[in-house]
Amino acid sequence: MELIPPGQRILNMVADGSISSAEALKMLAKAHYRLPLEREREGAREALAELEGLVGLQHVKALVRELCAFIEVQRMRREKGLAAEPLVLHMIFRGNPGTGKTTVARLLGKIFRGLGVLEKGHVVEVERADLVGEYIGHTAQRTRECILRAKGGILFIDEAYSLARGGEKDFGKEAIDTLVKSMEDRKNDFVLILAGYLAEMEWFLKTNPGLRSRFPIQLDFPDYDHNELLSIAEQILEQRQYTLTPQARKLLSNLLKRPEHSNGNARTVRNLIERAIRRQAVRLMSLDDISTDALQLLAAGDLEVEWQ
Amino acid sequence: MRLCTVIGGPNTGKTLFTINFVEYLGHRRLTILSNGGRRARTTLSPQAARQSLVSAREFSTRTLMELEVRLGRGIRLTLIDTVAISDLVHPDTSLRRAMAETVDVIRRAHVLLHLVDSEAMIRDPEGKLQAIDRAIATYASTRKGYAILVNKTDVQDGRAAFVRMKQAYPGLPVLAISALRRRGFKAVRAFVSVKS
Repeated sequence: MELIPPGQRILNMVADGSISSAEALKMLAKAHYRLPLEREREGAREALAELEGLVGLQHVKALVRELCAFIEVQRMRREKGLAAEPLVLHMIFRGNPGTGKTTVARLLGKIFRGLGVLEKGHVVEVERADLVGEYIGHTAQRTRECILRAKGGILFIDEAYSLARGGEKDFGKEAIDTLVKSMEDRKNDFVLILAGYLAEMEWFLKTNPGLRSRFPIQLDFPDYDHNELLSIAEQILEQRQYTLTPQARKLLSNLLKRPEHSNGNARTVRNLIERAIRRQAVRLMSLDDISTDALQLLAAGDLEVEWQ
Repeated sequence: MRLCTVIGGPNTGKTLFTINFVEYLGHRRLTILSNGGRRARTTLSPQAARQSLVSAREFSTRTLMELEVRLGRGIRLTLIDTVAISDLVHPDTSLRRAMAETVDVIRRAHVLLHLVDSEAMIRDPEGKLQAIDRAIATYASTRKGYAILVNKTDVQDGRAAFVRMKQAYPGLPVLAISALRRRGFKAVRAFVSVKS
């Protein structure tokens, strides 16, 4: 996807005589977002490419592409003086652990920074314990602190539904109210992402009817299927410059079919491989002469669950 | 280094202000970091600069000039004298390119000194601001390091123009200066010295 620097385009229009410098300033004034630097736009391009490179997540990728196009078009409309939709980018991420929610949030931060919607694009990851305090008033203060830390970036609340679990009297309610208020007061300051299991998030949104309309973007992260898990394994191995012996490959495929590993969780795959890497290291240390190939090769024995 | 940009419409006295202000800050010579995009550190006496760079014509400054300024206590500043910007599209291509560069440094500047010509305000039948000045003020009014310098307040009715300006922009720092007579420079120095 092509990202054209908005500020640069306005400057080009001044230089080629299609607008006066006064008009350029008017356009820049209307653009209530900051104009990203070239370095940041490069970061967005890289993040987009990285997102495309992730295994699976077809719907997520399609939606992010749509979102980028929407942001760009609204900006162009604003530049031309046309009515533009306000950008509300708060999101709900639904999916099991290890399905890529945090990874996608990090990439979105970089993309939004490059598109000029977020000033910094960093991700502040919090959970209930970070937001909820111990006495009345404490929660609002703690929640505000988290929001302040996320200023210019993304506030990512994992297992967000736990904020509503305690019912009306729980301090979690206070955290939700503080979040909702900040979403209105600091509209363009931060993006809020509420993440959690599909069913729990559904229940959460049902019990807080006002919330759903404030989160126009909902992304579902399905569990990875067996083939996707294998592709993820390949990616991890490639990044770390390791290869599997044919036997190890077969064993890995079988391991990922086992009930305890077949929960569609990318973290499980990563852990399996990391464990194998450590075991390979131990195995190699007992050898006298270690070749480059041996350093790269993970054997079936390294992957075994019961390790002798 | 912090960027301080001198901006304004045609013939508002940007270049004369820049030279005289640098001299006021105690510099015997101007240290030019770049001129028209060419990076070459040179120095020039204020007198020679005034003779060669300042004129009563519009658009006599055709390129951006970056100067190095020391404010004392180790604070350094890059002061940029810019090309006049306007609400009209200028037929000269190279001047338009320089205007685009000016808009670019306006975006990047930490401190914006917006020069307004009080004589032009007086000439206007309703005493109103020029269109370009309104556009600049609208763009920059939400920024921290923005000040309006009403120049040429040494002329007759110059003070009146300044008062009118202050009333029009109550929330903004509006300073009366005379680039020619070097008046009001103390307040400008205080303004650019504040870390925003």
